[in-house]
Amino acid sequence: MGTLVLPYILPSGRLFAATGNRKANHVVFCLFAGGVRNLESIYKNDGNLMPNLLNGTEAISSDIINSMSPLPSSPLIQPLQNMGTLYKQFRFSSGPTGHFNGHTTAITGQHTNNTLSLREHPSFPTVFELYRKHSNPQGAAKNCWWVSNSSNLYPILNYSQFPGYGPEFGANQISPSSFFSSRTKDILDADLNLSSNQKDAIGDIRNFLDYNFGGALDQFANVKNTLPEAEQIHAWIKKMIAEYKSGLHNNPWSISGGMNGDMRNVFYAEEILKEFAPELLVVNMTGVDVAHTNFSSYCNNLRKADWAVAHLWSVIQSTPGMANDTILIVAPEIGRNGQPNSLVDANGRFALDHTSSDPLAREIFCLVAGPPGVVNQGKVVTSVEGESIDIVPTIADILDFKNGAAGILPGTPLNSAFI
Amino acid sequence: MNISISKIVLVFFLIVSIVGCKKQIVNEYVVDDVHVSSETGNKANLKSDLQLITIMYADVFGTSISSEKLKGLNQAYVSFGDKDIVIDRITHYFLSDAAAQIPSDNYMRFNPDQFITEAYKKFFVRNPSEAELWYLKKVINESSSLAARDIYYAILTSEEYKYY
Repeated sequence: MGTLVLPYILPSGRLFAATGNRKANHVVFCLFAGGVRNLESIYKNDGNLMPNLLNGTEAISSDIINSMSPLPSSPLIQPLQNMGTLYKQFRFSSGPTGHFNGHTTAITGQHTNNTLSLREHPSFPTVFELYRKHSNPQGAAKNCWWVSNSSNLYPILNYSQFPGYGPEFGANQISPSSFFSSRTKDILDADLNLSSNQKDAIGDIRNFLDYNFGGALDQFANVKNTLPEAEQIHAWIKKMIAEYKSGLHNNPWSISGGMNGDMRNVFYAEEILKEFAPELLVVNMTGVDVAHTNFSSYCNNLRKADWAVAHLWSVIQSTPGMANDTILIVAPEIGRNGQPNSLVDANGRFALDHTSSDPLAREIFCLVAGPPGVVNQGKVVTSVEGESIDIVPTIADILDFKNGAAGILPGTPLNSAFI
Repeated sequence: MNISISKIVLVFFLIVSIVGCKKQIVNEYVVDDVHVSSETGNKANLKSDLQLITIMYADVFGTSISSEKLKGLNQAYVSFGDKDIVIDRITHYFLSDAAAQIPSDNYMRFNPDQFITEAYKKFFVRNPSEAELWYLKKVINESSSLAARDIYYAILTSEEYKYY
């Protein structure tokens, strides 16, 4: 007598359980970006500006302390480094030390050079495409998000021009602070309130029109969600807009003086985690780049970014399907110069650029946090180990799509972070 | 007995071979080359993001879009990766506006040929084919809940509308 075996839809959205080769079923990669110098982050030259990520109670320098905004108490019981492995001598080893170069390297796992185009999708596959194409079963678009804090330039990092990859395997990209805004709220909120019969009839008509038009013309390069996924995304957009209009997004973290752009971007990334529990989400921050003109504001935004990451981790640990099954990777895209520029802030501090010739602009950190038993807890790597191009192979190793990515990625997984 | 069977077989093959030698008449039908034009108007160029939004606005409202309104629509458009989802939301926004120039449902039901032809000319810049006309009339007749606005919605979110 035959046995009927029905697939079971897992809470994660996968049709089948992941193979035993996965280290975890979710990865959140937080580009702690904007250019962070190790001197202010892990070496605490001006005190511990990142007390939510890093151990230590070093006092913030007295000359800048009055420029620091008050922040709520830590969302975490202990600093995040205790839940993972901290690489203190991580490197952005090659390529121009620009933000877009740094982002491209972090998201593709490839070095870049001066020929990198700011207007074109990357030349090599992004981590999103590698994940979606080479996961088994293939990763759905709703399981893969690129949460960019700007709608300028960075959205094009959601897929590449590499043959065999492209929008078909791209991420669901969103620039939430721009998408959910006073200017767009009425646009996104409008609804024809169609009945299911109307939706079916419209769907049939559209299919007929599309069939007549033919499939040969496919220039509309676009990440596409399946119909059920798209409907879930539509519903989520409407929920977000309703909350936005009702004021719930004004300052959901109750930050004195309001949330900055980094915090808002992380807040919306958290909303995506709660709704979709994606297997791969990349979110960036860039507020610290104010360092070009104001060192004290740079330090202040570093503190806000630190607090935001801690909040992100606390949401991950309270989200069903993601708690204890998520690895969070935190790394700046580039560092900043050892030599300041000529601009001085109100506290007499010189501002900092990031130029390729300055070795400190290549020195960054990386924190890999995750469940005990998977990630080494409280480990600190003080030697020069790991670089930006190793993050994508690490994600490929965690989510077990490294075989498909073999031969494409020059980096190697950060094995020392894992048990 | 065996001999008579052999004779019959021999005669059969003889007849077949004589008939087989008959000259064959080959009828050839030659068709002149004809130019076949696409019903979809040979649209091969994708509208740019701004073109799509501004053309859709002009098509729906019969007037050009203001720069302030365009800023908001463009902001939504460039901030989300799945453009089909954004186009869908923008279409909802346009068609739910009281100023949208949509024929009445009665007009659609009592004048389906005109309604469909006018919609095709307005949005696709071409006439509907006989098959398209037949199909859409059938849908209008059979779906009592279908509104004129719904046909517009299907057209504006179709692949053909993204091209010119």
